[in-house]
Amino acid sequence: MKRRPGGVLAVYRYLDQLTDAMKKIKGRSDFDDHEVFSPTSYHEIEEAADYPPSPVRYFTLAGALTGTITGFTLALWIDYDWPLVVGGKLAGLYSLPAYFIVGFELTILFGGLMTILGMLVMGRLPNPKQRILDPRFTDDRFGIFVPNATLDGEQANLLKQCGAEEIRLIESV
Amino acid sequence: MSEEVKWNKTISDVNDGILSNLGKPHPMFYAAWIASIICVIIGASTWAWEISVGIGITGKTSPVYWGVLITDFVFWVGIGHAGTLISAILFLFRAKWRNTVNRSAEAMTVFAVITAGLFPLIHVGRLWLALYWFPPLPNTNNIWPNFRSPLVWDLFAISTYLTISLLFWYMGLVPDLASIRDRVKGLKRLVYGVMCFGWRGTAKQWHHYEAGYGFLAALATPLVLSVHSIVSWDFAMSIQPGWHTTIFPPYFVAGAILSGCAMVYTLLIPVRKMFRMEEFIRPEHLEACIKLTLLTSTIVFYAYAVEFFVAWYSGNAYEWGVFEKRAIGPYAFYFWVMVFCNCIFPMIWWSKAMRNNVAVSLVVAVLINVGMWFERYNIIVSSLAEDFLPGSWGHFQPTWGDIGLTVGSFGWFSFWFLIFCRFFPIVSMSELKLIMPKPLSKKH
Amino acid sequence: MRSIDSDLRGLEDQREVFVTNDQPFESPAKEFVPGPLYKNIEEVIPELAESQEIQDASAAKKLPVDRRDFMRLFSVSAALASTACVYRPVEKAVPYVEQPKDFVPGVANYYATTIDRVGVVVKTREGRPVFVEGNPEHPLSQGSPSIMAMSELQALFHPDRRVAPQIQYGTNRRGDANWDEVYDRLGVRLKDAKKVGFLVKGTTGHGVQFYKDFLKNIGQSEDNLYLYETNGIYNAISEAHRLAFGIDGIPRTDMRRTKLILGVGAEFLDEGVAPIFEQKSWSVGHTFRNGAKGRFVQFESRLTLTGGKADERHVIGPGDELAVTLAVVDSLLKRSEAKGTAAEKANIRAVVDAQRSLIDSTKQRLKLSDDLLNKLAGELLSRKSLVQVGESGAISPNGTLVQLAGIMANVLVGAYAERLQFFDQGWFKSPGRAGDIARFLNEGKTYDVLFVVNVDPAFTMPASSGIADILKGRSIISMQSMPCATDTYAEFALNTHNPLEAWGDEELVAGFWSLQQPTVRPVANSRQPEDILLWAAAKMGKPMGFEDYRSYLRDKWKLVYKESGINKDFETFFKAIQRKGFFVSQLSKRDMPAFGTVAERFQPLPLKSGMRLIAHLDSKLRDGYGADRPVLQEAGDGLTTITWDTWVAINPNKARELGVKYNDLVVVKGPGGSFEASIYPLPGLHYDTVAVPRGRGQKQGLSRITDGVGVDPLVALVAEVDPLSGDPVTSGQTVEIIKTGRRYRLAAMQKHNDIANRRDIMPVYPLAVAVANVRKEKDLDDVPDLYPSLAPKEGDLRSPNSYLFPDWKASTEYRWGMSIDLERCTGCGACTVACDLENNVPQIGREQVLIGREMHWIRVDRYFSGPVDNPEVSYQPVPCQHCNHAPCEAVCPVYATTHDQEGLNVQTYNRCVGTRYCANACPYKIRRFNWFTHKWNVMGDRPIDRNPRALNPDVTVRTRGIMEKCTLCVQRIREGKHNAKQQGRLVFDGEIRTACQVACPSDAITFGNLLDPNSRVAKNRKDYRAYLLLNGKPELGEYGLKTLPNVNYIAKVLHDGSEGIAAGDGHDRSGAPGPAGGHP
Repeated sequence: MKRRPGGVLAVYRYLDQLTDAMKKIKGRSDFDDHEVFSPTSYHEIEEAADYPPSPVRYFTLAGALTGTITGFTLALWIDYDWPLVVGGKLAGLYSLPAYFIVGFELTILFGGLMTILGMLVMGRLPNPKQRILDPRFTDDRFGIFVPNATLDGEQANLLKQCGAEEIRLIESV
Repeated sequence: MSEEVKWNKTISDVNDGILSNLGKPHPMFYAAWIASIICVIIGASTWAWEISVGIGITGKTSPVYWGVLITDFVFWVGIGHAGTLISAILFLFRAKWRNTVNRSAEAMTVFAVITAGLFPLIHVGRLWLALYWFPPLPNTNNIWPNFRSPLVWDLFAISTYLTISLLFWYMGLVPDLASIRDRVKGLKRLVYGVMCFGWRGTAKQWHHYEAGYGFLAALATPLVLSVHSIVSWDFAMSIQPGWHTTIFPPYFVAGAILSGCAMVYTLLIPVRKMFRMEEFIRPEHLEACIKLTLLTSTIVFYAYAVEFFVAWYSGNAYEWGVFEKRAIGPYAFYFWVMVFCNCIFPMIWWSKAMRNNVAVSLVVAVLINVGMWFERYNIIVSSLAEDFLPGSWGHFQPTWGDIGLTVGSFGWFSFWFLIFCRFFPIVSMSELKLIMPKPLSKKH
Repeated sequence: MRSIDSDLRGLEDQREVFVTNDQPFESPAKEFVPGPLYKNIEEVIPELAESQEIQDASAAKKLPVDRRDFMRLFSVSAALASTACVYRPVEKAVPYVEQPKDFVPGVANYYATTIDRVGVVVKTREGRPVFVEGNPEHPLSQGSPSIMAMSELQALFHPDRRVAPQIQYGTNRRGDANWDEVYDRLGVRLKDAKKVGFLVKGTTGHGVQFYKDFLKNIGQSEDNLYLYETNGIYNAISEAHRLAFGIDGIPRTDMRRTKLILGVGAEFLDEGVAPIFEQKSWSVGHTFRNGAKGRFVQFESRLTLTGGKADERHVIGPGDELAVTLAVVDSLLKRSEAKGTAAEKANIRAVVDAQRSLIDSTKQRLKLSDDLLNKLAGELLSRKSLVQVGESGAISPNGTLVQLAGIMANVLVGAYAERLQFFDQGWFKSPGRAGDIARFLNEGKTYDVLFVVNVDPAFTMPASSGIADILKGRSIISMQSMPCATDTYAEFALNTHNPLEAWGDEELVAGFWSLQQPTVRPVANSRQPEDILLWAAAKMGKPMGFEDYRSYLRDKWKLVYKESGINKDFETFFKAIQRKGFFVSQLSKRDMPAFGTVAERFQPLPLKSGMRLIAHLDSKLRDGYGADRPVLQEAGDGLTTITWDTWVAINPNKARELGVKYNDLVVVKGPGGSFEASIYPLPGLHYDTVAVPRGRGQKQGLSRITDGVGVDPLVALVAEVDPLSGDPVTSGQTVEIIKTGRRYRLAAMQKHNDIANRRDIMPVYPLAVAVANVRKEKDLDDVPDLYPSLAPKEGDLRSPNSYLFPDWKASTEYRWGMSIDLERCTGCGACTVACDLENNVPQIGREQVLIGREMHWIRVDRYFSGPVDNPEVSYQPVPCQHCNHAPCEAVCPVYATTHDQEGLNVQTYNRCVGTRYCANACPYKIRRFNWFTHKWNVMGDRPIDRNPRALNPDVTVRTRGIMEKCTLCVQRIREGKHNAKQQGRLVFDGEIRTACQVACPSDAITFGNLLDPNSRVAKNRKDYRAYLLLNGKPELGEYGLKTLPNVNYIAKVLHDGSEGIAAGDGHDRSGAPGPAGGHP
């Protein structure tokens, strides 16, 4: 497979500096597919990045609908497969109210499973070759990684001006 | 409310603080763990005895065909409600305080539901058949489960609830596991790395993560409310006086949340002490938890009252007969324990001083747990004991079998919960950071 | 399968035998025409015919054939289809290459025989008995077996039954022997015996003759034979009649025609002279039927099943029976319209005057007002009435005099003249013999060889009677079908046949013979007592000339045959008798003589003071004969529902006085000794009454069933006999109750005894209301959206072409239902016993019953209501109600219980996982759960493995973890439908009878097809008094729980003495004394 490119990594201490930097570099072609790192999901970052709405929602919807259909079909089909009368309740549509339970439960179940799936897929998870640029990103530091940039390059300067705590060159692996 | 929280820590201290539990734990921890293991052994051997001899080793009889085991089942399912409630519903309400407690609450939920799930198996007469006749497995005879039976609803509700809670809990764990990975070396690093799927914390990942988490919360919310409603239908769907009432679902849900929150509090206090979390689980958070408990306690109080009123107002001799006996009959003791523990004692929490007095609050929380156990015991046993035909009346006496299995269940629960406390972040670090002061360069 | 031809041949046989008109014996099989071919019991014994009005009523039924006929037809044909019983060669486990005659594997054979003085039909499968039904033709059983007869099955296959005879070698070595050795030694023993005696279980048949013959044969006096019958009432009545009329014997009382029964300690529903017969005739005459119901007023000192069914009940002291009866006689005498000749009246007056002081003192003590007695006397004389006296299952020193007083009363009310009490034909023979026991106790010591046959004197006689010394001194040959206390004294303890294996006969009514024949090859290496004697006699060189008892019997029957004047050869005759089970030769003709002078013999012994012990026969175990049968131990007492224990019943108020409570262990100290038992405060007892059942407290080590069960009240008694009948006295001796401060829980099945003001489960109609509405019908099934057990209605969404709903159709042919007439239920518990035996219901023992886990599929709830001192007693047998809207079905997660097309609520054992949710949902709580894999008899500390041979092969044996319940005997339904299908018809009404229905002596239970408008059960369901338990009043649009059972109840009717003119609200007992009525 192709090697993952090296580049410049800027580490920030403060959230506002990070968001400034993000706003500055937004849309600039020389910052193409840069990555922003954050220990948690600050809304400021969301706003600064303003991504399109996440497609995870479609996964959820699909899962939920599948669940509903499965639930009702299962219960009703079983009734038609071997109709039995219990407590004066006839099989089939007569007993439909009872089947809302399984319908509902499977809706939630499938919906939930698909949501997780969506989250993993969209987040490119799991990724076995986890490329940890800086362990502090899961602690208290923010960072911006610009691929194919150099320390003396103009992108590095920009990131520096925004108050980067340090700027490192990341080797291509 | 967390506006008034006085943090004397910054987010930089979070990981060090929270993950201290990966280091050498408090001696209390080992004591507790050994105790729990002993309980598990007691429970397991009792179960073995039951399977080899027969369910008759428990006190159940005619007409009380359900007893302590189903009480335990409902009790543990109830405990299992706080977790997802706190993580899901309070998440949607953006109640900041939940960020400090949701992790342990979710863990509690998962283990409680697993414990509860054991009891239907323990209590059936022929476990070996129940295992494959409950779920709708294709078979040559085309014999299927009865989807009109509340017990099958239960099967679906509980298993769904378990799955979703598990996912929810684990999803929250992923970023934290990543931060552990980034702190440890060697094999541990590998293990945690695998467990966190290789989370990197890029803004994109956070973006989808947030979306997913939101949807999951939206799904889990109705689920929380449905599960205990369905458990309540186990009773409400039969025509027993004392069971066959429409108030059961809300009443059970309220009760579940009450017991859940009380249990969260009961667990948080020792854990907070054991792993020195006082700086992160602030008194304000505990107080918020207590307020929620107090609210549900009043709801439960109301439910009890309504039950009695309806029984009296219906003019149904059988219905009223059961409630009369509950209050002043052979089961009066259990009833009044239940009333005092669930409705009377929590009322002291109306005073702020009491809410903030950890010792008192802990006692009350424990009492609520006791009370909620007795509530289920009441509902199950006293309704069955003396129902319609006086000629068929009889009474229930718990036996060593019942006690052994109950003790076992508590051991089983605490065993897993302690393991969790030892190897996982007890507080959701990434979410904790969210509610702490943001790291800003220009001090406003 | 039996073909209808064989049925017909059977019918041909009997008409040949019983009607002396000439026809070819083996007539060709005719096409099946029910009815005319068939003969009613009435033609066997005319006196047994139903009264005129009832016959009209039954004739009015628009059935193609009378139901009763069909019931008889079918079960009798069953009996007739089987051949005479002969020992078959041993069948090794080899497949039948050539099938034995009358032997189809899986198809039952039926043998008619006589057990416990009741004519029964024994159902056998693969050569072993599986159920004992009543012989519908037998006039004394009329289709109902006695509890004791049914439970013989468990005695037959009892795990503790001895399988070898035992001999006492030398001083203290006793060991198993083989039979030849037994005969040799017996021969020797007999040869050098000076005086040989026999103590024999009371019998009326040729047995008595046999023993006499034997004694004669070995050169002994015939007087060395003593008949021992524990129930003293036989000898008392017989002796009383000898005194009064010079005729000994017991008149057959016919309560079917009485309008009023005055009972004084009457016990015809407990331990009467002929329990089944009397209960049947009571149920005909004194339960509400076609708008009529006889009245029953009872005076008694302890609450009995009989008293529980009284319309009006008065409490008297123990031993007051005599005085009260005399008081009644007195007030009868005072009235001019009293029947009886002047001479008789004079004789009676003489007695009454002699006892004046006794009468007055008693009246004054019991607060018996003259008004009450006069009112009673007036009623007695204005209607067809009968006076029944007894002493509540026990006998006091005045036992015979009580009967004598009863005879006087009956003479005065004209019971004899009305032929209610006396027939010129058909006197019962007393199985005992007056004076025998007294003689035995005196002469017993003079014997050196004593045979004890099928009785257990060591246990059933009070120790103080010196029975132990009698048994110790001499060589005892104890011949018992089950181990018993007497064996321990015996030199020869010989295991003899169970009644199901033995030959024998009874002449219960003079001239009316019942035959007892083996229904199975001996299962326990046992021998017939008579055979042993025959063979021993042969060994000692004095052969009697018969190779076995069977040939002896045949020899005797030849005489019966000769005088019967039947024109067939003896073989045919005897074969037919074996098929039919009984035979009526010339019934004894007697003229009723006048009432003699008895004044000088009438010397009542004074009553003891203080609390008096009534050691009465247990309603299930009798004198202990049934104690080793778990099914009887666990069926429990009808009134206390106590199992596996002896209780001390005293009046609750008295208990409060004494400061003792339920389950308090007390010492009952009598003149002869004392015993410990727990208190059961039983309403309706006299303050002086201490009622304790006999039959428990056997010696340890006899049987794992009786070990440690209860105590024997007789130890408290001193030896005392009724001077006239000579029977040991078990009632009336003063005892004191001493607190021990300890508690011992009695295993009572019913934990809650009063009805808790829930009258809707036990409505009672006053006679007036019942009469007014007797023709009124109601439709309990007229319920909106009643699915699905009825045939689909018009506009039913389940129409065949409806694709919306899965196609499920209720059967249009059958819908099984049961109706239980609470008016007729006497709480005897025969249904429970029959059900246990038929359905392999395990008995679980005291420990489990204490927890409340008894497994009975039909439990009899007993409710007390009203004043504690004189309560209203109601019984309610509760089987599975087979609801159409069954709450249990919907909640089962695995479809283990569902509804079948014929309305049954069916349970699939192997599908059940044991969540027990169905049992919780059941409002009647009749579902039973197998908490353990129950052993055959007893859980807990005395487990005994199930004896597979004792199980009904048609019914699955359930393991632990399974829910079970009443199936309405689905195995019998299947069999019946199978027969019907083979003959291309629907099942006849009454063709299928459930076990409980078969067993019910008062025909309270009806089973049948609800879709057949003419079936009895359908008619009962329409009855005005019919109701569905916990289902409100459908006719008023109140559906209660709306479970819509297929089992319906028929409410009780209270005869308030007003012949239906006055109407109470049904709950008050006008005429009955208030709370303190009749108490000091």
